[in-house]
Amino acid sequence: MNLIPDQLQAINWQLHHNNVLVNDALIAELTDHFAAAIAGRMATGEDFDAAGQHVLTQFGGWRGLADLQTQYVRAQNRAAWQAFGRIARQYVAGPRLLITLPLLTGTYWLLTQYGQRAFWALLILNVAICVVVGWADWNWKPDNQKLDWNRMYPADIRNRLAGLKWVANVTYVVALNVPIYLYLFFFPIFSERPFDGIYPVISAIGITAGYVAFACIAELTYRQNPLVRRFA
Amino acid sequence: MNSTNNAQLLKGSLSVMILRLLEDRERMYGYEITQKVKELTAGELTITEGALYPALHKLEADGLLTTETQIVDGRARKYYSLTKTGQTAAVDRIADLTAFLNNLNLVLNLKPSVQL
Repeated sequence: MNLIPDQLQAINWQLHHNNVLVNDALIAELTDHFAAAIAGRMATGEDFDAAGQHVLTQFGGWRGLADLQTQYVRAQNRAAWQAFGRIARQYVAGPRLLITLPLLTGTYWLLTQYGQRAFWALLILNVAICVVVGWADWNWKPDNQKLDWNRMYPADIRNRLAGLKWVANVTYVVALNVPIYLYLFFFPIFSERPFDGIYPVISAIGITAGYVAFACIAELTYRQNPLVRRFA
Repeated sequence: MNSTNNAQLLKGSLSVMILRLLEDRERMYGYEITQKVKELTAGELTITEGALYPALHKLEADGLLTTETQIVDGRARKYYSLTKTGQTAAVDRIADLTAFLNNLNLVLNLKPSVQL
């Protein structure tokens, strides 16, 4: 038995607008489940509301759905961090160390030779890479339109951006901010002298880590990023 | 069967049941899994959705299941299927559970010892 559009819309509305579920992927999966299960029960003579209530009970009510979302987000995030970690390990202890070491020494050399100018150039490069790598994420228009950053708690944002989206999001923020904060904390803003002492070491590590993090995300989001596919 | 006992017994074997069904059917969606279990056991076993989906999501996160989404009747349907790792894990876990059930059976069918 197929549900009529109004009934499907009612299921969709209930799952979206009761402020319990925010993760779009999970809502889509549950909408299909509710529709199939309600249709199955209606085929035995039950009415739409009673069937819907029964299916909701099978999930443990709204509380059960909230718990399900928490578990879903945790599982997705854990899997995404593991995937990120597997690639990142290759850059610090695997075959890709051959990329990391020249990158690190090159960055260090630039910072010690050209000081502030090198720092700003590297930072601009960092932002440019972030834009290219993040293209896949900034193309998520439906999600982004719904995200109200000022009004949502971090937990809600994490729930909505589960899995790779969340990991990518955290990576952009950290990889962009670390070099900037290193600069602000360790070096006078208007100094023109070349960097020396421990600062260029810390700064080179921070900037290189940012590049490596972006490379990991680029590899994970390669399929949905036309810009990365073009540059690769 | 008492539903509380049923749920407790199911808890440890749910993931194996999912792996076994997917081994047999190649790909299935959540509701289909609940109905298949009901059908196979003539309604004796029912998997609640509150238990099924966390198990599916965990297996997916562990890399044992992969998903593909297809539009069916105007809504997105998420199909689960076994990955290569999942296929190996399914064989291992089914063997483990079968061995456990055989041993459990030996204990449950224990004959009263003869008193001398």
